[in-house]
Formats: sequence, structure tokens, C-alpha cells
Amino acid sequence: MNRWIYFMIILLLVPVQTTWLHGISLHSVKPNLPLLLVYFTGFYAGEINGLAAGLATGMMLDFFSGGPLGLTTAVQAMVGLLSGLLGRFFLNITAILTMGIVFLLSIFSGMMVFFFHQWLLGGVVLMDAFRWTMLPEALYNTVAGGMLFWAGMARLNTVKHGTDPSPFRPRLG
Amino acid sequence: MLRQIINYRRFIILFLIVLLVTALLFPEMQKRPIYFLGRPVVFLISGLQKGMAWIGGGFGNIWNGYINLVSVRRENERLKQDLARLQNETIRLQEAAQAHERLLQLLDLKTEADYRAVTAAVIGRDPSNWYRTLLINKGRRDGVAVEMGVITPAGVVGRVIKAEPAVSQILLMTDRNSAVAALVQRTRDEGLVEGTEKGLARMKYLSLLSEAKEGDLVLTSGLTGSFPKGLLIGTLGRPAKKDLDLFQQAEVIPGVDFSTLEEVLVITSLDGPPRPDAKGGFGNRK
Repeated sequence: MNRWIYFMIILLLVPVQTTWLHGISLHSVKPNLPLLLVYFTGFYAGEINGLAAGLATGMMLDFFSGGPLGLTTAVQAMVGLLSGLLGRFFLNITAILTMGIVFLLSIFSGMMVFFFHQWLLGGVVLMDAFRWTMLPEALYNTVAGGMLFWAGMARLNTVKHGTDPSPFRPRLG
Repeated sequence: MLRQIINYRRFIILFLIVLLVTALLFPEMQKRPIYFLGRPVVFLISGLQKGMAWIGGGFGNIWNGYINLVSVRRENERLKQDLARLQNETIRLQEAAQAHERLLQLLDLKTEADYRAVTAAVIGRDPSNWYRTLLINKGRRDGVAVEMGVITPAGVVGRVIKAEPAVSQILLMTDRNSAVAALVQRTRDEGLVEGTEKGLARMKYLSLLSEAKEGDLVLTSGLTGSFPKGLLIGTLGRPAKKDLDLFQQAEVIPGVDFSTLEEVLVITSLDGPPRPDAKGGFGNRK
């Protein structure tokens, strides 16, 4: 994918996440589209591209988030890196596998936010955060991840062949 | 070989960026966050947000306004706004009456909360589910500054935490990092209303001797600089205390429905008198 198109997608993703997604939120919880983008990039295009995508989306989101500056960037970068490393272990990707990995990555991302928030500001009870924020978001991401896989990757008959070192160019078959 | 070296170099550069970002997270750096670095990004993306909010609002209006019984819905909306305004007015009048009684005994008190406000449209919300913030289309150019209170005719919304030239970020009172000085209207007990994980609010530090009960109205106490005294925060739940606690606490159901907020008022000054206008708001609109 052309890197400018990819940059435009990231640029448009932030306003979409902050405006339109509120319309489909359930009990004030909405899916985390930037996390899904970073996951798909890392998983299909390797850890370096995942890391870069995580840094880019995280930095933009940080300026619109009420959290400490740098928190989203650090967490998204870790998710991108981890997605890329996980991608090395799987060749035949199914919707169920995608949903499982998205669920685990969402919980991982939530735990990282909790850890950093607790370190910087404190005052969050883990079980409350898990029950009211982490788990609902992970479930929503899982459903959205499965739908995106079905809508995009599966329809392109994607077969994953490992990682592609070229920047911002996911290998899609 | 060359490709491998280039990849290796890219990985090191990205790793260094991650280290830099992690360094940004250190508490010392958070005391002087470098938001100016993001101003061009904020400028660019907030422009897109305004466009998308306008398109989203347009679609929402078409769907709700024309497909869903145009006139009934509009009338209902108007009546709801009137009801919210009148409820607020009633509370203000009750407050004024109670204040008047007290002032008969204590002559030197200020009788009413005076303030000026600017109207702003909500153009975005927090991208994550961890924080409850709003983005509005007014910023420093319009007189908005950090720590200013934000309200609607239905009650308190939150306070400004970031002010850029053209946009500002509002921390909702239901965010876990928010706290508003409050009092129970009927009993005059003071406390602090904080946000909870569930997206509601909780009044803490209620005296053990307090006779506050479920259904009492909770208002701003005016002890902090952001809000004048007597604005509606919400309705009190049943006060309770845990073993060994020195205070009671109770859930507060906010007066404002945060999921449907479209316009808010930012209190820019506590000096001027509130001025009712044709739309049912109050304060000076710019």
C-alpha cells in the first residue's frame, strides 16, 4: 500500500474514532479502531511496520486524549511490536484466530494503560477498570476485528507468508 | 545485505523513538508536557473533526428529523429544553430564597452567583474508553482557558483541561480524575463529587451526622474557582458508609445526559451577571 494512502488512513482514523464511533458506543464503550489498524499492520507486515503504525496513531491520539501525554503512543507501539512478533508464528489465519488475538491484545493494551496510569496518576482499582473498561472494550474490539477480517482480509483470500520489511507495505497475498 | 543494514537502522531509530516516548511518560516530564509539538496535528485533525461532526450531525438530523416524525420530535426537543431550563431556574430560585433567608441573618453575604459564558459546540470525544473528555470548537481565541467550568442549562458538565487557539478539551465530571466541590441543597452538607469507573459520579466526605437522603439535589458549592455556587450537579443516591470510615458517600446521578451533549457553555468569568437569552441558555454568547 502506498505510504501516503496509509498516512491518510491514519490521519482520518483519529477524527472517525473521536466523532462517529460515539454513535455506536454501548454503555459509553466504543471499539478501538486504531488498535485494530496497528494489529493488522503488525501482524501482516511485520513488527517494524507495526511499531511505526503504533507510534504514528498513538502520537496523534495522545493529543486528543485526556490521559498523560505519551501514554497512548507507548501502548500502541507495544501493541504493534507484539502483533508483528505474534505474526511470525501463524501462517493460516482464520477469523476465530484473529478474534482471539485481538481479544488478548486488547486486554494487554488495557493492562498497559492501567499500569502507566497507576504509575503516573494512581487512583484506579484494577477490578473496576477490568470490569467497566478493559473487558467491554476487548469484547467490542474482538467483534469489530472479526468483522474487519471478514470484510477485508478474508475476501482478498489473504495468505500470510511471513513479514515484509518494506515500510508501510503490508503483504496482502 | 544493504537492505538488512537499512532495516536494522530503521529498527534502532524506531526503538529510540519508543525510548523517547517512554521518557516522556516520566512524572517529571508530565509536569511540563510539550503539547506545543502537537499543535499542527491538533489544528489539522480538529479541522477534520469539525467537518465530520457536521456531516455526522447532518445525517443524524436527517434520520431523526425527517424519518422520525419531524414536528413531534422537534416539539419534544423544545419541551425537553424548556423543562431542563425551568428545572434549573426553579433550583436557582430555591437557592436564592434560601440564601435570602440566611442573608436576613447574615447581612454581608453575596446573594447570587454571577458569571459570563460562551457557547461552544461539541466536535469530538475522547478516543479511548479510559478517559471521559469532550472536544469543543472554542479555544483561547474565544477567551477559553484551562480550569474554566463548563455547564449546560441542565447542570454541570466538567472543566477545561487543555485550551488550544481554536479548540479546547473538557474533562467531564464523570471522569475518575475529576472532582467538584458540592453541597446537598436541602441539608447544606458539603462534600466532593468525583467521577467513577462506571461513568457516574459519587459524593464523598459527607458528614456522618448528615441527614441527606436519596433524591436530594446536589449543587456546586462555589468553593473552587471554576463554578459559581448553586449550579445543579445531579441527584443524590442513598448515602452509605463502610466500616471504620469517617465519612459517608453516595452515588450521584448527573443532571446532564453526557451521551447526547451537542452544545455547552464555558464560564469565562465569575464577575458578570447571567443573562437569559432566546434559546433558553444563560450568559453572554459570542
